[in-house]
Amino acid sequence: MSDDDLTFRLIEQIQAGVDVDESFRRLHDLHYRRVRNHFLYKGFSPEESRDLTQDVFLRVFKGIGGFRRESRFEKWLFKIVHNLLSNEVRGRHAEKRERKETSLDAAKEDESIGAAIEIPSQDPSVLDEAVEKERLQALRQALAGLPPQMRLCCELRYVKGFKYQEIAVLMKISIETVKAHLHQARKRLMDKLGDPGGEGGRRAREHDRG
Amino acid sequence: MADETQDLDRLFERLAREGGTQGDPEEHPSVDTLAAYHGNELSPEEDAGIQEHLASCRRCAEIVLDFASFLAEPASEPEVASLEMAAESRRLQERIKAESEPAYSRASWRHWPAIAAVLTLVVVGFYFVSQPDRSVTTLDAVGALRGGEVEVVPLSHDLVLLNNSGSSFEEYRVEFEEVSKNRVVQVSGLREDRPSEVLVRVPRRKLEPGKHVINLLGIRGDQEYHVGTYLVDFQGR
Repeated sequence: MSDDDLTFRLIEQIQAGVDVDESFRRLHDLHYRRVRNHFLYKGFSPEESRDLTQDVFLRVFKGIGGFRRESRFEKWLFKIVHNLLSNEVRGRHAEKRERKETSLDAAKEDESIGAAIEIPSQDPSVLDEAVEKERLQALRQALAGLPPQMRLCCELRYVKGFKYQEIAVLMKISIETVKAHLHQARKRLMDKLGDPGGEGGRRAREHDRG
Repeated sequence: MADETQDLDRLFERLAREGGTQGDPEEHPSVDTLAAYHGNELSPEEDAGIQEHLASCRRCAEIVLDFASFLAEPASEPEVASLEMAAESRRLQERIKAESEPAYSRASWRHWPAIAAVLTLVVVGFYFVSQPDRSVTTLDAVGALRGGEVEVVPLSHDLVLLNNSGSSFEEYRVEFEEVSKNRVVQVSGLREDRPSEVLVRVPRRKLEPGKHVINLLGIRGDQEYHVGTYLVDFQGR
């Protein structure tokens, strides 16, 4: 019997009032690790994770009479976890979870591109700022001209700072496709934007000299 | 080439500081919809709309990632339940027993030993005779888990309204709308008693028995947000 089938059978027994304590214990045991590990993953201590898991299953117990089989149990369970987490995170864990990339094959070159690079500020003059705004507008236009999926990959990576693996999940595509989109997008964007030392850059440098 | 790459990265960095290409959206899909998106349960058009939203909304993107990681966790093996799991299971059973009337309690009582049932009745009976009635009924929002069921609740009970909206507020307000008389009674200055639970002392002197629509509103700054609607049929006094 699959986990899904077992889950539904236990829920049916609980809803019918058959062997409730034992059925609920088995349902708890079946999904305990998933819930507890999720809280650990979100940065809570083992003790906090155990307490929060308790709260989740208490809510499951209270609401299970209204659970309908049309919905997947994990989806319903996640909603409870999410609601509880929203409250806890607001109260105690406002800091963002650490974003450490596990190294992907040949990812070093790719990952060094983009959000992680810091360019020292050069206190731009008014003209520099005008040129900069122009180029930013050009980037917006060039982005808008990309195919939808390629553009969204770009925004998720370079604007929002998501990892390749995360983008693959969010866009429901493979990690290789994400990399290909980003590679292709950068090429197209650089072609569109042209040489940074071109007309706009030259104007700015001439102004600095003058 | 290196210049072009650096220039592009610098522009992206600036674009990120300025909030991206679209800015933060004001409306968000529900957790259910985001989970349905992840589970390929939406139409291609809906999928495309969600993807556009995710690219501009970190909050919703994090929910999808959380859901994916939640599903990726393997379920436990009941046969090899760890000591921790067994201990937690026992602790949970104790907490459940300590909580007020669970949804299936009437059914499960049939399986209790007779002596326990008698003792419980004696204790409960003594409680009702000796104490002012301060029982609490917990309500789910309509359309969440129980559909449109009307809960029959003694007017003497206070209410715990479950906030399943995913948003928490510093303050809440409740409107009791009497269906037959189109009359509204309000209770303000409410706060969450426990996470996602708003305890409402029912203004029983102002209310009449009968069907009521209860609206829970969350207050943030000058704005009020609808949190949930609850249907009750108050009985007695």
